[in-house]
Amino acid sequence: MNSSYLLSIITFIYGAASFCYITTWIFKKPIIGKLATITTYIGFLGHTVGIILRWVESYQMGAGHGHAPLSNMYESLVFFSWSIILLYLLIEYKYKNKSIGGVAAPLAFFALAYASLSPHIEDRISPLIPALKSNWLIIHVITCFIGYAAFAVSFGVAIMYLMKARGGEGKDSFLNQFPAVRILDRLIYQTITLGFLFLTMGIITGAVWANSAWGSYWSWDPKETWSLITWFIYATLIHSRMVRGWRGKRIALLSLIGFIAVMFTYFGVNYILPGLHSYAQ
Amino acid sequence: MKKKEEVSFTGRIWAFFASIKLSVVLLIVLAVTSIIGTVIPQNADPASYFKSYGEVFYKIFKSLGLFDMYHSWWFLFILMMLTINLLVCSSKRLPTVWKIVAVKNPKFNKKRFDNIKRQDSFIVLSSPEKLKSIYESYIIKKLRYCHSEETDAGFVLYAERGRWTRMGVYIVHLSIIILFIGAIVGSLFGYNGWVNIPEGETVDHIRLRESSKPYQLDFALRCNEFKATFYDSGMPKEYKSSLTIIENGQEVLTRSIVVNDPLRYKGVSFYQSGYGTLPPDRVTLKITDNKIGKSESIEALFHKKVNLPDNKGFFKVINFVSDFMNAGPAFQVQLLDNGKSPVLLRLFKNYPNLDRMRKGRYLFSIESYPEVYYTGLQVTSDPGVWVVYAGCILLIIGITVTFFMSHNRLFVQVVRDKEGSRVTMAGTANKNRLAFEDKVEKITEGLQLLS
Repeated sequence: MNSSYLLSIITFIYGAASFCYITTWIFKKPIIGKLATITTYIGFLGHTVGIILRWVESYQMGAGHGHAPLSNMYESLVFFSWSIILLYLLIEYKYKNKSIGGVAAPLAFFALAYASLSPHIEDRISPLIPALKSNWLIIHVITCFIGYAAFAVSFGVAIMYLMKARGGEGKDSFLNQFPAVRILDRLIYQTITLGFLFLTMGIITGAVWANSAWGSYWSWDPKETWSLITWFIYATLIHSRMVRGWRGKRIALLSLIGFIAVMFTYFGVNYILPGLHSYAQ
Repeated sequence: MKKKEEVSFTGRIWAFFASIKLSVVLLIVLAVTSIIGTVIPQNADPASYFKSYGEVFYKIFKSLGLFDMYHSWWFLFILMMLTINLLVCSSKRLPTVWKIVAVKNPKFNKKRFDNIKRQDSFIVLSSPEKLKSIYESYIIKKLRYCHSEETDAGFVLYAERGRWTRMGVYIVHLSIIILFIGAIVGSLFGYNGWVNIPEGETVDHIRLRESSKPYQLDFALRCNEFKATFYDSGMPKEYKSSLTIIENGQEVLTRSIVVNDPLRYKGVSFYQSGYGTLPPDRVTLKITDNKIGKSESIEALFHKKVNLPDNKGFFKVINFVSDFMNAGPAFQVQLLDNGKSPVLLRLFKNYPNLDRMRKGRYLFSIESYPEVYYTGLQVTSDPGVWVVYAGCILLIIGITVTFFMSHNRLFVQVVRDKEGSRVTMAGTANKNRLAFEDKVEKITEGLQLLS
């Protein structure tokens, strides 16, 4: 079994987990929630094995081919999905609430499904071109995608917040399964601060890398600029909240805008705007 | 009304720049305007702009500086406004925070204690005198700072941790100012250029990227060798140049560079950024006489007449193209066979039999030609880069402190209660209060076990 095959199986496991988590919104049977969590843990374990396997496979391809599986669109999507699940499992453990799984698991599922099933995404392992041969590759990609994953979770929680804030507090409403709006609001903010730290580190490691590869730490390339735009949006959100005391709906909406910018930085720039990151396709 | 008029002009400007509303507006303006430069390619050829946008928009865009917008006056103006805003905001708030941070040996503050809503009490059988040192040594392990005071009815403890973390925001803001300073130093005292050096040759000047003007280096640089290696799939694997620094006629340093591993010497960095081959000055041709079926190799210099094998005519190599119509390297040869009108031949390295189609007496093909590589180097000098890196490190530290560390305070009041003592605990934190409440709960449990 090779890693891409294993990872495509994981896609279906995450699909099943997503289904279970969403079902817990509707049926209040604890067994379904347990099933959802177990499925996710199994998926996450397999996912981790898949990433390690891919790493090993690259070394088996021949001398000079070996590299961490973080070098192209397929591998970044796999890691993005992995980070979302990791972050979600931590939140589930800390908050003892499974309803967030109903938004987090599908996000991880979509990322992995897109990687595994899209015909536009090459899942073969290819050796590194000279520009990517750097120790900064690993730290840059890891920091960026943990940041993106935090923003993704924040986006999911923001949607839950908006659903709950809008949909009243009917007695039988599935919204009762969601954490209180106060907790959702805090969770949006906490995941954003985590994402903001990692985005900052991602931008900085990228700048240091650019300086060691091209002799310029900042060249206003579209990818760089869009990551900075994303940074500005989240900086706006943080200042509105910390100093101006914005809460709730406004923060949730800003979180949605921020995540749109994240997605554009990730996909839009690669597919629409040309630049230095074009090898990431 | 009167009070408002009294606010001086400078006071109003100060208030304008001290507003967080301005920061938010500036951040949004920066986010939105930055998009323009990702949609309009920056610093491209004017002709291509003209072609894409037409005359009217070309003129409008050009006057707004949109073709190099991140260096346009208005974008720099927004950045400057943000910097002033940052400085004014911080200097306005810093004194208040500093007053809190700079306190030496803070003590139990009764008022603050009473203000904390959540207070947990428990009763123990030991007397306050016995508890005091036990509690103190336990709490100091958990919070690093602990101050105790005896009262009429027992004693009070004040413990805290992370007072300095209140400065986190100012670390972040300071780091951004440092980043800007580094960037300004770089743009004032640094340069960015490029140079192509053929193998075996030495250069002592480069070309600046912006003006294309030559720039004299303080030393000379020789390219000993350039080597490009490829994977089996044809993808590039490594570009490697061996370089030697020559100063005052002496070889000072020889080193190989690859992409991501530049050579740095006296504040100047040389990056592997490209390569190519020089046009050859000669070519060895294989000429086959179709009549007698004999081949001969002849080396020909460019633009020099060379006799044909039967000495009844000559040819001249007149041109070389490294990639002619996507068919690879090609030479152009002028053939003057006696008694015939001159013929121009195009000889392809990759298609040696193509000349057969001419059906001439002689079949020309390319045997070999010298391929001299040159290495393409990006050359930069940026004295501000270490300032920028210092700012970056400070920024990461600042954000970590601001969002993930907090100032935690714990108040403990112990009052004599019949034979034993009544202990009241109250904790507060400036951030992430719930996490600290959990910690206070744990400390409370710990204290109960101790007494």
